[in-house]
Amino acid sequence: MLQKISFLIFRSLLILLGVSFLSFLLIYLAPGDPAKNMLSAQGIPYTQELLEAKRMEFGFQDPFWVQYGRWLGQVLQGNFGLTYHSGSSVAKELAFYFPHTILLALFTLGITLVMSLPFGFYLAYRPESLGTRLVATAVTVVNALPNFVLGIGLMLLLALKWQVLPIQSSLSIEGLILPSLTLAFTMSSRYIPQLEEGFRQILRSDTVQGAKGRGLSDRQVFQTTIFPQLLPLLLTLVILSLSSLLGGVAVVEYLFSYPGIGRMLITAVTNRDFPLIQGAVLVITASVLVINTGGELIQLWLNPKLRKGRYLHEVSS
Amino acid sequence: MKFHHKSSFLWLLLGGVVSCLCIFAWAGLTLENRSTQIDLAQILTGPSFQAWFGRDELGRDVFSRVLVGGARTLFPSLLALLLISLLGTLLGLISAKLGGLVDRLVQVFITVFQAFPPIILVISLVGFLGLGMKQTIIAICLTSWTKYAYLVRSLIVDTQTEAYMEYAGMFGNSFWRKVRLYDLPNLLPQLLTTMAYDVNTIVMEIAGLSFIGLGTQLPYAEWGSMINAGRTYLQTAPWLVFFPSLFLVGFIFTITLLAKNLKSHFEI
Repeated sequence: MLQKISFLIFRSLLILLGVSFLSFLLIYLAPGDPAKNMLSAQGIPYTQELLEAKRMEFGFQDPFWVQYGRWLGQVLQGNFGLTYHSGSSVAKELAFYFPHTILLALFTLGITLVMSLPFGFYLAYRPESLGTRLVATAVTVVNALPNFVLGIGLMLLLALKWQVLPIQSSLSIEGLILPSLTLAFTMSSRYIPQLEEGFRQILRSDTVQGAKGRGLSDRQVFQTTIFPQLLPLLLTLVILSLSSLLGGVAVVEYLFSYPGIGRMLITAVTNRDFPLIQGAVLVITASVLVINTGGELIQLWLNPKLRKGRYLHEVSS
Repeated sequence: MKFHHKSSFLWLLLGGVVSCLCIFAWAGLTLENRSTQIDLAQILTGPSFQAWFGRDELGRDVFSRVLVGGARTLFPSLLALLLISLLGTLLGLISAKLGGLVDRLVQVFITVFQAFPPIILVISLVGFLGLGMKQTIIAICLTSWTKYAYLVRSLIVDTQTEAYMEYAGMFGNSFWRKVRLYDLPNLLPQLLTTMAYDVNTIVMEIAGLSFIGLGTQLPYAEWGSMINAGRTYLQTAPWLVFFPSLFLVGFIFTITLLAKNLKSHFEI
């Protein structure tokens, strides 16, 4: 058990090291002279002396490994360098934007669960009804909608036509609803079929049949047999959705001008602000990795069967 | 290939998709000028007989822009898909067949690349490479090959210990002949189905990147960037968003159907 936990943690640290190496490689290989990039992004006309001074200051002429080592040491201390554009600290920018993305992710996760659990159960419980067919069709349709199209649709309906919500997102609850609703619809359309399949297997299982046969009420059956069996699937879905919500909501954040890290990244890309891009990639990837590893550890803790084998294939691919 | 009766729908879908692609290709070659032609006298006029889908904020014909945009959305996506699947298959194949250190190395690469959330990596790679469709395709290729490498590797590793593989070696088949005769046929159903589903993933990715202004640059038409540009006029000229969205969603829907049918055709 202890061996397995340390293996998981060690592996994620190694992956993190690889990730940091690739991120550094990106900025190292970035086109153009870094000193020039830095000065021109700040709008300072560069002279030869100024370039030399910058190069000396940041050590751009040192060999690759020296630069990587120094950079990694700085990153470990929480220093991601300065942005090209405004010259402020990258860490400060990230600390401002990232919590907004986390808030959006948690809000979306809540809505997704509220939306997909009952529907998933309903589809498995009443496989032949008219409602099931309607929900299944809706799921297929939503699945074919790119999230920005869906977002524009919801915006048109809720913000422009009925005017119940603001168009631009702010940090208030109303501002969170449109982006998280958009994301939750997309997520649910992916999870409802999986949940349906999960519920179907559970409903067919001997434990549930046995509990029914012993005359337990529906509620009791649900509490004692269905819910515990559902937990692993639910946990996997929560972990998967959290990691994809932290790492993949840039388009929706852009659409609703939500001040999250994804929109910040897009702005950084259009400004060609390399240190900011690098910082964002590192922080997002690291947090996704932490969530996935955390998920694997929780699975390990909940499911004793997993402790025996060597690998944890079924957890969060 | 054996012809199943129930698979005629699949062929119908496939034919439909191919003929749509032909229309888009034809439009991309011939309507380019028309789609960027500015007519300031007819700004934001609604659908009419001259301009079936209306005109945009510069008086450009939305119908020809949607068709040209189709070519600019779909062909880069298909190219990216082709490159990804080739690269991934090759790496997976080499990894599984050679084993040992090469296998380890490829697996390390797969693990590290998969640790990055795909969209984030694509956006930042575009940031480093520069804006534009070529860069976007390169970025998508660099991030998405892992899936195919992983799939192909896991499919082939299982068959390496089978008796027929051993005999194939004994008969003196060369490495590539063995791959061609015994590995690829095994691989193809899974690979084709995954690719069919991935058409959608990549089309959405490319349209999304153009939507946030990283893929196709102005003034060229592309579904994602058209939707983004039309967003400002959502209330006054809804056709600017509606038609490119309709085509995008319609295409994705058709491909989903195709992929589902392909899956049941191969009985995976």
